Parts: sequence; structure tokens; C-alpha cells
Amino acid sequence: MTCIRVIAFALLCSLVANAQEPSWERLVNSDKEPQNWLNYGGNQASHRFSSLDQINKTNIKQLTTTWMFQTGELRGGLNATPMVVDGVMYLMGPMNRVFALDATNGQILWKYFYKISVQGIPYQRGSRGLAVAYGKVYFGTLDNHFVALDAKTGRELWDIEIQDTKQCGCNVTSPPVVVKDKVIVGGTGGEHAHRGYLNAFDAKTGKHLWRFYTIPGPGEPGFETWGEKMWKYGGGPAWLVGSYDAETNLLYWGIGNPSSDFYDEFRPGANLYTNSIIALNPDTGKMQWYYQEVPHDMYDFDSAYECVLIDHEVNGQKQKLLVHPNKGGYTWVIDRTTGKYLNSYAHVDNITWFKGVDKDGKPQQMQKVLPNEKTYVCPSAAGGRNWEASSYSPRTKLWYNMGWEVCNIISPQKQDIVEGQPLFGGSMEFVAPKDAKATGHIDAYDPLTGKRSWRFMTKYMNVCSLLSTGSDLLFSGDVLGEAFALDAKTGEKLWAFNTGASLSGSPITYSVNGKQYVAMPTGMGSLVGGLTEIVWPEAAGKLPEAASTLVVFALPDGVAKGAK
Amino acid sequence: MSFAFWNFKFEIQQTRRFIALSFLLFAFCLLPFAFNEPRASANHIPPQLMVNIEKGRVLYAGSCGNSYCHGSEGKGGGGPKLLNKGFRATYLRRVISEGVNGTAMPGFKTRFSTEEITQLVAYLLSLSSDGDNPTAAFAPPAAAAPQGDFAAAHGDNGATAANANAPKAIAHVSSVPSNFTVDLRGDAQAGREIFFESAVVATCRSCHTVNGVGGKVASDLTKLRALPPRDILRKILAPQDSKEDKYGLLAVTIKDGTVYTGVKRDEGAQDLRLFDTSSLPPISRTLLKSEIAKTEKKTGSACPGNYAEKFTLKQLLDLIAFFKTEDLRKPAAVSLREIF
Repeated sequence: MTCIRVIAFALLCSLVANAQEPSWERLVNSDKEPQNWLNYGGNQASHRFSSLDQINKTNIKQLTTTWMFQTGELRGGLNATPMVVDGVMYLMGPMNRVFALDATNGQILWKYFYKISVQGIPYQRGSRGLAVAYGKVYFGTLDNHFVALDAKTGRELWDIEIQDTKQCGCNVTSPPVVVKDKVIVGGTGGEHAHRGYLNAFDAKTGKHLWRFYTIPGPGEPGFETWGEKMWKYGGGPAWLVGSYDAETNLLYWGIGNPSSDFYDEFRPGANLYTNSIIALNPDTGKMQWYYQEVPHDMYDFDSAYECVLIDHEVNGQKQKLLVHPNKGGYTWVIDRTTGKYLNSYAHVDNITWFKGVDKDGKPQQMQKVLPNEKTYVCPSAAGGRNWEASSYSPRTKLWYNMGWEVCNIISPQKQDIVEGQPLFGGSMEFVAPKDAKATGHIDAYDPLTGKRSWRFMTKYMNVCSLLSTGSDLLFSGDVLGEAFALDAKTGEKLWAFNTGASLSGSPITYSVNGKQYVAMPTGMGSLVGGLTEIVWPEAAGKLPEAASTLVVFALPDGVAKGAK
Repeated sequence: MSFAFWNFKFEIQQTRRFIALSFLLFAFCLLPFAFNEPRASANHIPPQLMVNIEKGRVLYAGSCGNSYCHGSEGKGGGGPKLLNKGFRATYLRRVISEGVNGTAMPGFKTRFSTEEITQLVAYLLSLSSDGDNPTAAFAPPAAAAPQGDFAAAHGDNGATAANANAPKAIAHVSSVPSNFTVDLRGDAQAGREIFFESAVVATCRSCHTVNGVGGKVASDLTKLRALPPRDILRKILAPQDSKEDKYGLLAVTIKDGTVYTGVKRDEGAQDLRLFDTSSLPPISRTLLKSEIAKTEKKTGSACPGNYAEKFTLKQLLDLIAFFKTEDLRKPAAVSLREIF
């Protein structure tokens, strides 16, 4: 017995002392260690689910704040997904402020403030987070660099300029994805004259290994979908975060909209691989298949959102699904081995931009938006929901997603094309749907059929990611500042707490020394945050002020012990 | 009302669907004139001002009015609301031109001509009942700006001047002819495409800067503009002849035996930062001095330097023309005879 204890202690020591943690094995098997939050989407299938169940439907009324952390930088709110590795939380604040915190009390272990090299930061000042692996903290920056820090000390190890942000009008606002010995970094650029790309770097040395351009160049298949001129400037950013399946060895990444967003006359054709899911071999950067959701987009309906990888059984047959909510308010379900279409369904009620899909899922009778005309389109260019991510619970087998009933009036306008300069090609005005109230909702679906089990109405749009847990709770928060939990089986609201700041990040849960915590980022950092007061004039004067605070909840010690 | 009449006269050239909205917009824009005595009555608004406000509105809609930025008609979006802010013309001019440090607001001075910025300022001032009158957009800019700007912005044929000054669209695929004549000339725009080529991971711009854009690893090549074309050619073909010690090649050996080769970035008490140029894009490595076993200067240059083989004569001329050009709207011409 003593011997076992000694070995266990030695193992623990080696774990803490080993500078190479977390290893690839741990990242890819993260479901086995729910005490940690090791990947942006929880696991690499982007489920945003944790099997932790200490906080449950009975004791949740006693859930209370246990610590809070202020990043000290209000510009950009708090968009991040905190990462937790063995009791240490790694948090990316706005303006690329990185913190390592004691995950039990929020005490700062180290901090690193990246020096942003440009005056004009494109897109946003918040960041969706960072990745931790091999004893390093990896992140992309608001001026388009890729940086690695020593996870123990916060010391900068390397800093690589991917491309001058002043040239490309692009930057990195989301965390990279670690796949085996590589770190894969995406970037913005869908509203600029830029050619989108994904870059792979060696996780140990920082050496650049491959680049995948989201727009094919001359001679490559798909180039013909652009006309002659736009391949260098047609956008297609990989601005969010990919998912990985070790069984298929494919990295799935959603690609954003073409530039310019609305004015489309200089990019005739389907504009591959914008508004597509691409499946890459992460070892080589070569594409295995693609599936385009919105050919020749004219509405800013990115396919950039999370690819939720779900193993689903129908009549005893296992199906490997890729469930993908498109910005256009419609969800596509793809076979993630082959890229073939399986099903699709709406996740908002108000859709005008197309009338149904054909047998391959291709949208039919797409609405035309013409230059110098005003066209009413539902949902709006801010999306049937925005980037804040959905959640899948393998317990309830339900997929939880959000929807916004908001439309817009699009006015395309021709713009000169200058590399790295904004290329929006018009403007849009947010409005309520013509024949319905502007609302928001959270829904529970069968991921394959889209059959809805319940709907929870929110007054305004929800810009906070969802999180489901092993006790069938679903956590999120609203723009009025209320953090809340729903019953994942019924949608009934079980708990709420006013944090005092809009929630526009991604909540997580973790545990240290047997105590479960729920960490909720607060502080409006969403680019479309201004939409609330435009579509809901009654919200004017009622929305919280700027903040950038992580609020962490737990049960009181006595209750926590009782739950175990 | 006479302002409505002007509005109609102007808008009649536009599509019919546009009329209703523009009417409302102009009616709104002109409210201050109608009800605010110091701003004069509508009868005194020169048609040229209305035309300029309308041009500003169109520029605004295309570049500023999306909902990620300032929203349609200044109602706000991801960025601040601009409606009814009571701005000063000088402030707007400065922010539009230079951007705002540390925010998403870029400077537009390379994007828009002075005339266009004036039109934007006029439009934005028209959105408020407080602050400067839209005519203030045409007042002489602050002392920093040359007088010529004012004259250009004030020109009677403002509309055509704006078009002439607009940045040239650069969306074209550069092509290199396989043969050339002695009349061969460098094309600055094509040179820019080579220097900044975004279809490859690494090229000149990975290390060098021109006009403030590009890498900080090697020398700023903006200064080449002062040199005669043949000297620029020599610099391109023989980078190893550079006398700039600052960019000399350095090999740093770490105690574990790893050797990093590149250009020194800077040095602190505890560490040395090296641009590792053994692969591209270069990697700025922060190396702990306590971990460094040996640092030695190497001969040669971190610059690949095989440009005589890499580029055609036409491409070299294009690059030289690009280096000689300050403003791509006025490209420098470099002929073949100038480099021999």
C-alpha cells in the first residue's frame, strides 16, 4: 500500500514538474479528465460539455460567487474561454492580456501583456482565448502574430509575425488548435481585401509548416469559382476555431464569408471555399473534402461557427455527424467521414434568403440583393446567432443552440479594392422581423433530425456560449448581466445571478480538490453588441456598463461535500 | 420648402427607390438648419454643400456604416454611435485621417483623398444638431496640413477632383512578359505586388518594411527611394555587401547544443531576442542569457540574396520602380537604361 502511495505521489510530482503538460494524449482524451478544461470547445469535438455533476438541480439554488477576476482592460469586454490545467487557469483578457491564475481563488501566478504593434486594430479588441499544451501557452494576437509563452513562468518564448496586419487587414481573435505536434492558427479578414488562410506551426520550435489558403489560387480546383481577379482579395477567413476527430484524422474548420460582404459583382461564381466546412489532413494541410453551405454569399452568412462532432446511433447504426449552425439561421448536418449531406433544419423562425434545399442540401431560390437597392433579408448579417457556441450533451443526446429573430435591410454598394483595406461593399440596417417580434431563444434539438424538445425565450439576443454538464444543467448568460442555468431536459430556469455586466464569452466548468467551479466571463465584447438598442429601442438606458470580469461560482463548502 | 426641392433635383438622377429614404435623411440632416437660427435658414444652404454631404453619405455607407462599425446613418454598431454627437470638424478630420490609437478605428488618409475626407466630415456634421455646422468641413484644416489641401478640397469641380484622387484599385493579377524590349519600364504597382505578394508565405515583406508596412527583421527599404535606380539594383542583388552591422548574421548556441541563427532584435538584462531566420516567417526568439553558451558573428547575410535568379529583369525593374515611388497614385517610372 505504501509502495502504491509512493508511486502515486511520484507520478503526481512528475505531472506537476513535467514542463511538457498537457500532452497531446491528454488533449485528445480530455473527456477523461473533466476536472480540467483543456480545449476551446471542452473536447476536440467542440461539445462544450463537462461530466462534472457536483452542482446539480437540487443544490444549484445555493450556487454562489467564490471569486472574481478583473482583467483591468474594459475595451473588448471578456470574450474568452478560460483554460484550466491541473488547478491553474489560463485566461486571455482583451488587448491580448494573458493571465495565469490559481483556479481555486483567482490569485495571479503570472501575467503577460502583449505589446500590440499597430494603432488600428481590425475587428475587435477582445480575444476568444488561448491554447495550452506541451508546457506552453499559445495564442494569436490582435496584430496578427503567433506567440508562445512558458506556461510556468509566462516568459515569452517566441513571437512570429504571420503577416503585417496593416497589409492584410487581418488578425487573430480566436485561440489556435493544437493537433499532435502542430499548432494551427486561423484569422480574420472577411470584411477586408484579404485572402483567408490557416497556418500550421511546429508546437515545439515555432517553425512554420504549412499554410492552407481558403481561396484556391490559379491552377487549383475551385479557382474558377471566383472570376479572374478576386482570389487574392476575396476574404474567406478562418476566424473561429476548428474541431478534430482522431478516428478520421481530419481537422474540420468553418470558413467565413467572401469579401465584399454584400456587393458581389466582381466575384462571379460560387466563391469556394467561403461559407464552407473544410476537412484538412492536419499532418499535411491538404484538403480531404469541403461542403459549401452558402454558394456566392451576399448576406454575410459565414460558415465560421463551431463544427460539433457527434457520434449518433440510428437503428443500431453509428453515424459520424458534423453538426454545423450557419450564420444564416440554418443548421447543416454532414457525414464527417465523407463530407456528404445528411440533413438540414432551421434554428430561427424568420428566414427569407432561400426557399428550401435540394437533395444535396444546396439552398434553392436564393434572394438577390442588388446594388443601390434596399433588400429586406432575414436573419440579419449579425446572424441567426453570432459566434458564441452551442453545446451537445452525450447524456441527454440533445444539441443546445441559440437563435435570434432579427432581420436587416441590406444596401450593397461598389467599393474600390485595396489590399488590407475594409471591403464591406455596402451597409445593413438591423430591424425586427416584419410580421413578428424581435426575440432570442435557446433551443434543444435532436442533432440529426432537428426535432426540437424545448425552447427557452430570451428577451434580447443571447451572446453567451452554452455549457452543459453531467447533472443535466445548461449554463449561459444574457446581455442584461444575468448568469443563469436551465434544466437541460426541460429548459426550465433553475438559477440566476446578476453579474452586473453583459455576458458575451464562453462559460466553463472545472474542479480542483473535489470542488466544482463554474467560470463565467462578463463584459460586452461582442462586435454586434450595439444591435440590442437598435432592434429593441426599449433596451436603451437599461444595458450594463463596460466590464471585463471573470465571475466564478461554486457551492458553499458544506453543500459541495454533501453532494459527493 | 426649398431644401426639399434641391434634394429632389439631385436625387432625380438616382433610382426611384432611393428617393424616399434620401428625402427623409436630408430632411433629418437639415433639421438643424431649419430650426437652429445660428445655422442659417435652409434658403442659404448652397447646393454644392448638399452634393458634398450626399457624397459623404455614400462614402460613409460603404466604409463606415456597417453594423460592425458605426452603423447605418451613424446609429452605432460594434463601434460608437456618431449621431447627434456634436462633433468639431477638426476632430473628425483628424480621427478619420489618422485613426484612433489602440482601437479598431483605422486611419483613412491613404484610402480617401482630402476631398473625400472633407465630404465625410460634412456628412457626419450634418448628423448632429450641436457641434460644428457642416460648412466647417470646408474650413482650412489645422496648421499641420499644407495649404494645398484646402485649395483642393475647395475646388469648384470638387466631384471630378475626388475621383481623380481616389486610390487606384489594385486588384489585378500581375503578369510578367517572357520577352522585353529596350523600352522596358518598371511598373511600380507590379513591384508592390512582388514585394508584398500575399499568395506566398514569405517574401520581401516578411523581413523588410516599405512605407511603414512589412517586417521589422531587416532594414527599412523606404530609404532606397533616395538612391539612383542602379544603386537600388545593386542593393537587391548583393545584400551581403550591406554595411549595416545592426542586421549582421548572428549564431547563438544554447547550452543544450541548439544553435539559432539570425538577426539580433534587442537585448535586456536577462535575455536576448533574436530573429531566427533559418525558416520563414522569421521567429523572434527570447533566449535567456543564463542558457546561452556562445554567441558569434557570422559572415554573409540573413537575406536569401539569390534575387538575380529568382526575379526576371522586368520584375527587378518593377521592384525598383516600386522603391522609387512615394505614392502609388503617382508611380515613378524606371527605364532599363537607368539601371545600367
